[in-house]
Amino acid sequence: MENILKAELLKNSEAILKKAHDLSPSYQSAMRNAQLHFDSLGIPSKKNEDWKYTSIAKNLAPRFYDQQESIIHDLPKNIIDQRGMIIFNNGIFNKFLSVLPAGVELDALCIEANFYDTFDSLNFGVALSPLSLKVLKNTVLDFPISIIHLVDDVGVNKIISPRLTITTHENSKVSFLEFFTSTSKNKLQYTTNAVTKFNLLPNSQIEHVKIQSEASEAVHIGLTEARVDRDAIFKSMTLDYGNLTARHNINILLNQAGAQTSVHGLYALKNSEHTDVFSTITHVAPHTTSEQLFKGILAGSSHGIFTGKIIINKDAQQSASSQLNKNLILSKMAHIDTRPQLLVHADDVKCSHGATVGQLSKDEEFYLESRGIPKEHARRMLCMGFGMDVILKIENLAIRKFAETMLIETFKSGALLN
Amino acid sequence: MIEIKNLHASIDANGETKEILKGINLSVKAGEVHAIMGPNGSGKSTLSKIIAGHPAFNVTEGSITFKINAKDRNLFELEADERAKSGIFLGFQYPVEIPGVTNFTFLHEAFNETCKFNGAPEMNASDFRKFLAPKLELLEMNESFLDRPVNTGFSGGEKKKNEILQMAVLNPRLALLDETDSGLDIDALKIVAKGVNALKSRYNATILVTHYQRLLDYIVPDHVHVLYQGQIIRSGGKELAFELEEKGYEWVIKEFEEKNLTRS
Ligand SMILES: Nc1ncnc2c1ncn2[C@@H]1O[C@H](COP(=O)(O)OP(=O)(O)OP(=O)(O)O)[C@@H](O)[C@H]1O
Ligand SMILES: [Mg+2]
Repeated sequence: MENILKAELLKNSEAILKKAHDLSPSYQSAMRNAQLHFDSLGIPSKKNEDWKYTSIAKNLAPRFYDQQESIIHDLPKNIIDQRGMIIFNNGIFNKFLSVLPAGVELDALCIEANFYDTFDSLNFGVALSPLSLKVLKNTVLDFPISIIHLVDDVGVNKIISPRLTITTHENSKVSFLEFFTSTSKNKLQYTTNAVTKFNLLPNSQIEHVKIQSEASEAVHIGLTEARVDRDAIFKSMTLDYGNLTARHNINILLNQAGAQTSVHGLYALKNSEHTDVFSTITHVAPHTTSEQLFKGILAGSSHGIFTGKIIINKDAQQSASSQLNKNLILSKMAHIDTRPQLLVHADDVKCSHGATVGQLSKDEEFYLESRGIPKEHARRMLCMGFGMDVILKIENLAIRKFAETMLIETFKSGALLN
Repeated sequence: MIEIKNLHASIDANGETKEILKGINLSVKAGEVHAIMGPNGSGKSTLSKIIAGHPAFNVTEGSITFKINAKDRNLFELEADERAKSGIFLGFQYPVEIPGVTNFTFLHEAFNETCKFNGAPEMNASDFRKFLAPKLELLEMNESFLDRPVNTGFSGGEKKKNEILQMAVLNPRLALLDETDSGLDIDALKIVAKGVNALKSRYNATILVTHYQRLLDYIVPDHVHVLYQGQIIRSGGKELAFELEEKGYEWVIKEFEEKNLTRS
């Protein structure tokens, strides 16, 4: 199945190149190289250790979205602050609706030759509207920039391929909310294959909160990648409120001394939703620190997967890393596979990691009930509290409020409770 | 107000059934303060939890009736939350930490659920904050406690004060305070006692579970009971507490066992 689909995707991606005339010839040839790279790697089957729990081929749409213009004219909802918004519609950057604040500018596109995985190269090979931005030196924004990925009816049965690269220069500090959503919550079938990459130059800071809230029949594959230089700080949060199938690849490289990262997240799944988180944090340089708290709430017959690799290279002495994956299982049919993996090649480091899988605490339930709160309501409060614990780590208050509201909305349906 | 008759209860733990309460009789009237004392493991917390509706215990015999709207109701017909909303409050010996739920949300939800149940109007968040202010002041608690997760990272004394804050919000008719005094220094003890006394009236009753006479200097009991191996083996007035403080439990236990021997 993987091979038939690969051949079809390859054929369709070649056709896409004909529409890439807005991009430079050298960029187009890099796209072609990326397609060939995809050809050599193919679509992973469950035999691939990294894809052991998710069979992705059966869920992929066969065609790419190939329009070059975004057609929406109205601002999507969910924008936190209109002083900073980057709008993608069906993977195409909408330059008319987007607003870049002072200090954030378009950057030259990078011609990439090294890819994280097959889906990164697939994305590069077909992304007709790649966007590169730079945050200028000393730019500190106190409001967040919203990056909205909106899919509408035109994107149905297509692969949507947004590609975004952001480079932050010295002493800058910016928060991003990256929100994946659709015009209608139900019935739209499509595949998002998104790539978002950050280059943090020395002493810059980024907070990135990704929220996956695609249509309930959609498939989401997304890469969040960051290269963190000297004394720079990358704070990442991945929130997944469920859809058909989602795969989050997170790849963080702590490249220079003093680089720091926090890579937190939450998946709250119900019905037959399936979310696969694959996170890799590599300590390349000495004196680097990483911190990770990923939580899962699993109801219905949902399936969550957490793979968290922490790699500490030989030269990364005096680095510190902590990792914890905690899961709350609310039904007998729900299922979690958790693989925390620590690969340490340096001897002078501080590391801790672990994973827990449990149910709601009877003592906590009784405590709330003994104060007059009925059982169902008490359970809902406890589940939300379990999730809020992660959301409270979001530093930007406007984004935190937004994430909190979404969590409350998700619980309103009640499907998350049993 | 509450009438406990021949209460037997057990728990299933590690595949065994363990009988904890072996025929408790206790009657508490409105306006009264009762103290229950007794050695560790005698069943004091178990009794309090059963009254509050903890699901872990099996009641095998006996009854508890509680007056609701001037009618005696079988307590076992009510869920834990309904008991709370009908006026029963348990101050926990070990208050539970709930990360991720703020104290404010917790108190607000509890208060509004209780209002709703009793047909009183609910309160919005900003009015509720104002409603809380004098109660925080009474307990000498900083407002910042409201925005922290329930009991999480609170010191032992702060947790106990937080229990009394919840009691002040819910204004129960029957307060069961399970070792609310343990772990408190003398200043905190005085504050907690001040809180409990401020809530006392001739319409409500208090059952204090304690090991120490010290608390009873501040909250004076009308009746004192000694619980031992799941039974009340002696009851008396407040002077019984002094005697226990002075002489320990051994003499009461000895007298009780001798009486049992002569009977059998
Ligand atoms: N959940 C439980 N599982 C097993 N045994 C229990 C449980 N709860 C109570 N018990 C047992 O029941 C008995 C009475 O316990 P309880 O906590 O009621 O005592 P207590 O009088 O409150 O003691 P303390 O003064 O130490 O607080 C003890 O032997 C205890 O081990
Ligand atoms: Mg006890």
